[in-house]
Amino acid sequence: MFIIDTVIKRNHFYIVALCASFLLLGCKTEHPITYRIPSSSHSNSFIQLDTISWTISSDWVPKEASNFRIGSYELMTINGDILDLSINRIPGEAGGIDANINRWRQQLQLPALSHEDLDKTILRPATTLPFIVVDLISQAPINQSYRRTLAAILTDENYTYFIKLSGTYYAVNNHKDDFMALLETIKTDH
Amino acid sequence: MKHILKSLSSLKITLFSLSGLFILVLLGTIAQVDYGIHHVQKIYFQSFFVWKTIGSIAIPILPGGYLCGGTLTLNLIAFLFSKMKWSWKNSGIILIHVGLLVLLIGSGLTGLLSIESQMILEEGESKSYSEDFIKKELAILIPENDHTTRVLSIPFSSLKKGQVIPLETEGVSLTILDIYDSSTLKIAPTSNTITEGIGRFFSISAVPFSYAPNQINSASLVLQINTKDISHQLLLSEEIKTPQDVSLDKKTIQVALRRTRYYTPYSITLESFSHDVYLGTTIPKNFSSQVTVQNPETSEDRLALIYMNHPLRYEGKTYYQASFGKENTVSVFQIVENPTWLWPYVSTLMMSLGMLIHFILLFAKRKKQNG
Repeated sequence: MFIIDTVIKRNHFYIVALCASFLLLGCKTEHPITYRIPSSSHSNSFIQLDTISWTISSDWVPKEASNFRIGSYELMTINGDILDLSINRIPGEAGGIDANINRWRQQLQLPALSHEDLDKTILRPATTLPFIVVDLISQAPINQSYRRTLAAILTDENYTYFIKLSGTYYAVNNHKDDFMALLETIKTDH
Repeated sequence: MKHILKSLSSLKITLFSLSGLFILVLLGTIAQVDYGIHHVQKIYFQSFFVWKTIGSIAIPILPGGYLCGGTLTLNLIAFLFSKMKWSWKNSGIILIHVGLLVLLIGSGLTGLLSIESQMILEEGESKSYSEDFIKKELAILIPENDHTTRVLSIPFSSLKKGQVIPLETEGVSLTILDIYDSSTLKIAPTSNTITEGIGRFFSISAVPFSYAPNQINSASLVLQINTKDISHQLLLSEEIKTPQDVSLDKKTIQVALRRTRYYTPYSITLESFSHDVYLGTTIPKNFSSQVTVQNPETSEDRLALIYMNHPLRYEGKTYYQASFGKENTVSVFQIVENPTWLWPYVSTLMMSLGMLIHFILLFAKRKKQNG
C-alpha cells in the first residue's frame, strides 16, 4: 500500500498506467485473413506410350529420349543445380535389381553391398503400384557437392522400369515430392 | 491534465528512455551473433518488452524498443506542451524538437507498418505476389468459380497443437495434430498415419531451429480434415512446394504451408536479367533486371529497369535488385512497403531548418548585445 500511495502522491501514477497500457499492447497476436485471387492454371504434361503413361509438371523440361530411356527431363534449380529425371524401360529383368542398385551406388562412390544388406536399404512406400525405392547419398563431395540419387524400380511380366532422380543432395531433397508425385501418376499395361 | 503533462515531461523519463535505447542497441547487437538480424529486430526493437521464458512463464526482463521510443515520444510531447515557451524566440528549438518527434513517430510507425518481402522470378516468369522472409501461413484455397479462388491465410505463429479451425462455409473443420517449427522429410519405408496427399510417402522428424541467416527452417504440420463422414490426415511442409488437394463433398479445396504471400493487383514479369563484369575479370560491374509491370486496373503495361541503387517504386512498394541465381536466369527482388518512408526526410529538413533559425536568432541576439 505504501508503494501505491507513494506512486499516486508523486504523480507517477500516470507513468505506471502508461507502462501498463504498453504491456497490454505488447500482447499482440496475428489473426487469420481472407482474400481472393484469380484461379491458377498450373499445367501438367500427360505422356502415354504403349505400355506406360505418366503425368509430370511442366516445370520439368523434356530432353531427347532413346530406346530404353523413354522419358528424360531436367530441371534447373534456383541455385543453378541441374536435376536429371529419367524413366527407363528395359525388357526382362534388366540384369537384376541388386546389380542395378550397386551400379548406382558405384556412381556415387559408395561400396557395393550384398543382397541381404541391399534389402535393408530398400524402401517400400505406400504407392499405388508396388515400387521399391532406394535413396542413395554420396559419403563425400563429388565435384564439390554431395550427390544424391533417388530411384524407384517396378517390375512386371515383360519389363523392368527404372525411375531415377539425380543431382546435388539439396536439389534432390527439395524435389523429392515431385518424384513421389510422378510415381503416383505412373500407370502400366495399357 | 497539467499533472499528467508535468509528470510525463520529467527529465527522469528522458534519461530512462535514452538509457533503455542504449542498452537495447548494445544487447541487440551482441544478440545478433546468435539470433540473426530479423529475430533480434523483432524481440528487442519491435516489441514493448523483451521477454524471457523461465519454465513455462514468460516474464519481461527489459523494456523493448517500442516502450523506450514510445515513452521518449510522449516525454517530448509533454515537454513541448508543458515546459516549452511557444514564442518566436524559441521557434528554432521548437522546430528541432518537432523534427525529432517526427523521426521518433516515423520510426515507430515503420516498425509497425512496414513489410519486407521478396520475389523470385525466372526469365519469362510473372508473379503478382511476393513472399515474406520470416512469416509463414497455413493457406486454404477454396475455389469459388472458374475464375476466383478464396484464400484463407492463417498465420503459422498463431497455430497450436490440438487447435480446431472451423471452415463453416465448407461444413468441415481442421485439427492441428502436430506442429514443427523446423523439420525435415524423409521417404517413409512403410505407410505412415497420413491418409491423403503426397505426405503419405514421407516420415517427418524435428530438427533444431536455427537462427543462422543462411539456414532454412522448414516448418511442417500434420493436419486432420474432419468432414461429416470421414477424416483425412495430411502432412503439410514447406519442403512440399505445391498445394495439396483435398476432396470434399462438392468441391476440391487445396491446402499448403508456405511463406506468407502478399498479393498485388498488378503483375511483374522478368523479361531478362543481366550480370555484367569488368572486362577480362570476374568482378561484378552491374546486376540489372528488365521487368514489365502490368496493371489491369489502370491498363498500364510498361517496361522498367531495376539495378543496384535504382529500385522500381510502384504503388507504395519499392523493388530492389537483391540477388540472382540459376546461371543468371533468375532474379531476386527485395520488396519494401513502408508508408512512412518520407518521414525521416521531413524530420531531417525540419531539424536542419530549426538549427538554422536558432543560429540566426542567436547570432542576431549577440550582435544586438555587442552593438
